[in-house]
Amino acid sequence: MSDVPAGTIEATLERAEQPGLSPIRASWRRFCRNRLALGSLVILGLIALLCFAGPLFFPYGVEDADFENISAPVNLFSAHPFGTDDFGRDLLLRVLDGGRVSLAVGFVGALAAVFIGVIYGATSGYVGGRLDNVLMRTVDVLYGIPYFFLVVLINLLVGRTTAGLFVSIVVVLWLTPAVIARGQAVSLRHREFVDAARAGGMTEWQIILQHIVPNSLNVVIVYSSLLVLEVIITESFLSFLGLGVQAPASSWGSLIDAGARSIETDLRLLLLPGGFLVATLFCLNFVADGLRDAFDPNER
Amino acid sequence: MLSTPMSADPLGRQVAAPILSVRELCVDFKLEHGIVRAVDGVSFDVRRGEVLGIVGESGSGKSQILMAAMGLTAVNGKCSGSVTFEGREILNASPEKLDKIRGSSMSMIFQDPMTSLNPYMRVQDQLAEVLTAHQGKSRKEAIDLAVEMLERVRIPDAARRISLYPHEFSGGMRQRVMIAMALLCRPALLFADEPTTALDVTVQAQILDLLSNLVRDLNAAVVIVTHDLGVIARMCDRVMVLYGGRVMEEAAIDDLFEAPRHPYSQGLMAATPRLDDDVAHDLRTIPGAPRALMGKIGGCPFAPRCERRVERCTVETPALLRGAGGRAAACHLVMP
Amino acid sequence: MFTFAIRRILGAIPTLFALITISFFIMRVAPGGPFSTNRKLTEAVLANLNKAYHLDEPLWMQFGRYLWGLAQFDFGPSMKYRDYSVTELIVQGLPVSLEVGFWAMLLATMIGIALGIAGALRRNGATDFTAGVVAMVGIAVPTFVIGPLLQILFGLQLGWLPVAGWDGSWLAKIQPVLVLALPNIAYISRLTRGSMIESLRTNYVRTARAKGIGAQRVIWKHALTGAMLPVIAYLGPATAITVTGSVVIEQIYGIPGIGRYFVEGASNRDYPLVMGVTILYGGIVILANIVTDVLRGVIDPKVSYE
Repeated sequence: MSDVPAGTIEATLERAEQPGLSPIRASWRRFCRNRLALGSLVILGLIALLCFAGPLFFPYGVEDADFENISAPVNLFSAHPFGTDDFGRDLLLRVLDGGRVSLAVGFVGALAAVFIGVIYGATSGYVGGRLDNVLMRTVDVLYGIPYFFLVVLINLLVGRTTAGLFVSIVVVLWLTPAVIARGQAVSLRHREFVDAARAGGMTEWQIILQHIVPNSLNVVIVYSSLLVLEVIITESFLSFLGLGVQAPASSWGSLIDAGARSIETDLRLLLLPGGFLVATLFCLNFVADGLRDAFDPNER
Repeated sequence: MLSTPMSADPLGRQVAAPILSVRELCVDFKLEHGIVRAVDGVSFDVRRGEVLGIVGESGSGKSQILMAAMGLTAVNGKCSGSVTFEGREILNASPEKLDKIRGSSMSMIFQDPMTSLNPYMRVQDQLAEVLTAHQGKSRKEAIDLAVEMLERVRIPDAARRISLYPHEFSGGMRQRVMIAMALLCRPALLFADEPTTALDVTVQAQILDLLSNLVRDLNAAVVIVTHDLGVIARMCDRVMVLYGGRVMEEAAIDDLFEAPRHPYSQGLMAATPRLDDDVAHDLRTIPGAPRALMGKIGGCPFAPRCERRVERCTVETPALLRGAGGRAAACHLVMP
Repeated sequence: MFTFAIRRILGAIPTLFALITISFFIMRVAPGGPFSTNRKLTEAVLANLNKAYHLDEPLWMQFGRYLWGLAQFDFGPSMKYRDYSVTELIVQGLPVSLEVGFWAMLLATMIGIALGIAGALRRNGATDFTAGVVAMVGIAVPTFVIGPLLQILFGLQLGWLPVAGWDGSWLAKIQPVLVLALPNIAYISRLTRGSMIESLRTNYVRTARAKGIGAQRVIWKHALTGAMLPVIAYLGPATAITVTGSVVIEQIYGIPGIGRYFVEGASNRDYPLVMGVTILYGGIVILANIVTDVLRGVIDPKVSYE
């Protein structure tokens, strides 16, 4: 409860804000004012750029062993800026290449999970009744199982490829966006504009896709950023254990695994991919916090 | 026992000195966008046996006066001025010093009994802790006394009910519990912040009557804050009208209702529909909305909405002038 | 209270059943089996093996067989460790995992709550800042990064603690328990802090202050109780995080618990082993959720009457 009668102040301030700004754009502007979040977004972009475009600048491939420079030390001005491992493979290149997998699985996976989850949840919440009951009971039951185990199980089913990893993560992680979207749909379906749309002759499907989903976007965006975090961590986790991407493909997780085994001989093998992963995760955290502050109506 | 200090009341009679004296109380809140002055130079006295009403619209700062006296102002608030209780200065006193009088000789009833009672504690514990803290009673003794108090506030089957949780009581009964809790230590001064606003209309009258009787037995001084003129009419001896954090008018209850002097008070009285009104005319309202309290006000806070304003009103803040018969008004155009 | 607990347990049965069913059918349907990897086995030997492990029976029959075994706590034979049944392997590894997990949960709860309360009471002070940093690290940096880093620091550089290994000494236990606890310390401290701040702002805490019962009682009796509810509710997910994390911890520190068996089983397609561990861990998480629900019912009088 506010101790100051805020109603009067809020009214004055609201009049001062520009009229006609769509809520999404207003939230985006709020996000941009958060320098930590904005900066993190920029850094994320840089990392992504490095990982996807960087390897193109290397005259050799990830698996190419430079036998003349085995276990070369860090020398920013040499052909191998961060040195090589004991097979002669350039470390920087390996980390960037691993980043491609981690980031790709992370973002695309989160996107896919959100997509599936939102459709599932929005439909369930909007239609309500028995369908909602059944769909949500299913989610409840699935929620009771620690998702890591489910991911491993499904991974065993679909095979140990990167694509398989992708599928298993998505298949498990759509649950949270579904629950959130369903909550939004339930509160939205009683609003007048839905009745108006129905009266105007829209089919139920059209209403779901063109009204319910866009109006849930606020909340979904906020939680999606956390989802990217979860996907990247899950993939790294699995790859670390050897259950994720398989050689010759590598991701930061598998690189860290190799690095962890070599801490007694070569710290760079751990620190390099570890550093990139941690930097990415920190940035994602700040961006997620920033998105939450900017987009989540409840926080305000 | 010391002889009761005497002084002259607003009507010039020799009476006991006021138990609560507020002088030039100001409460400022620091917000994101700047500093807001919620209470702006409020002064008043209250004596034992007297019921003072503070009336005003939402946002007039009336609740903050009580909070300041009780030391419950929010962390971003700053109080200045003076508040003396039984002759001792209590404004901005340390919580340790305030804890000696809060809940015992000076207590408060809050607005919404549902959120103002701890939902995770049984009522008996919430009542008993007042007695164990202030009167050193054992838990058993405290609970027995609490049951008695609940019976006095007319809660049926009190001995059984006292071990229940707040959510198992109805709204009206919860407010009775709050009243019981506030009166357990027989306070000399009682603050009531919108005591009936959250209740059903049918229950409001009962609660007010109950309160009236109980405070009369204690000969306590009472300060009631409300926006409901009906509550004022029923309970109070004197009334203070607040707007924009400043006192607009002060008068005995009959004087205010029959002949309000300040334009704002007149507007309030006129806006209140009465049973004996002529049905033919529209409901009268005061145009405009309560002002946002940001920044220093130049002139009278009510000026923007006042139909009788003149040039001087927007420039010079009218002082509160005291007149005969305990009346006071803050307006350039009106004599108290 | 009792009926409430019973109802919760009954409600959890479908989840457990779903877990068992999903695990079973995935294992059976998954490509490749424990026998298809290594040497080429002759048709006859393959047929015999399949018969011995009942892999030639129709699926529903295998499922029934498995359920029956479960009821007797028999998870079936391990397909890779031919001399052991899964139950025996679990009995070997479970106590170790439980010990590490228990200490991690205990530490996480105690430290997390303490940091959270300290942060809430002295906002923006030194403790609050430190707690904030710890939380940031615990949330953003994964256990499999922190673990090796600490191994380097405390094991290799400073030599205070063993790098890895499990010899029963408490020195060897410190690192794994601490690293496992870290993410939960982070979440719990942030949650406690936020919830305590909320609680201190409620109307009923204001009333408590107005009664002059003393700041200590206001904080510890009035504000803290309500603040604990979200934290207790979180203990369920916290258990899931600990359980998941223990798999990695056991790998990093070479701890002979069942998490390690899970990873090996998954790598080797040792179905019964993977299923056994999954069901066990799943059961623990489900149990934890029930316990926290009941605990919430104890504190919040409104919960039991749902």
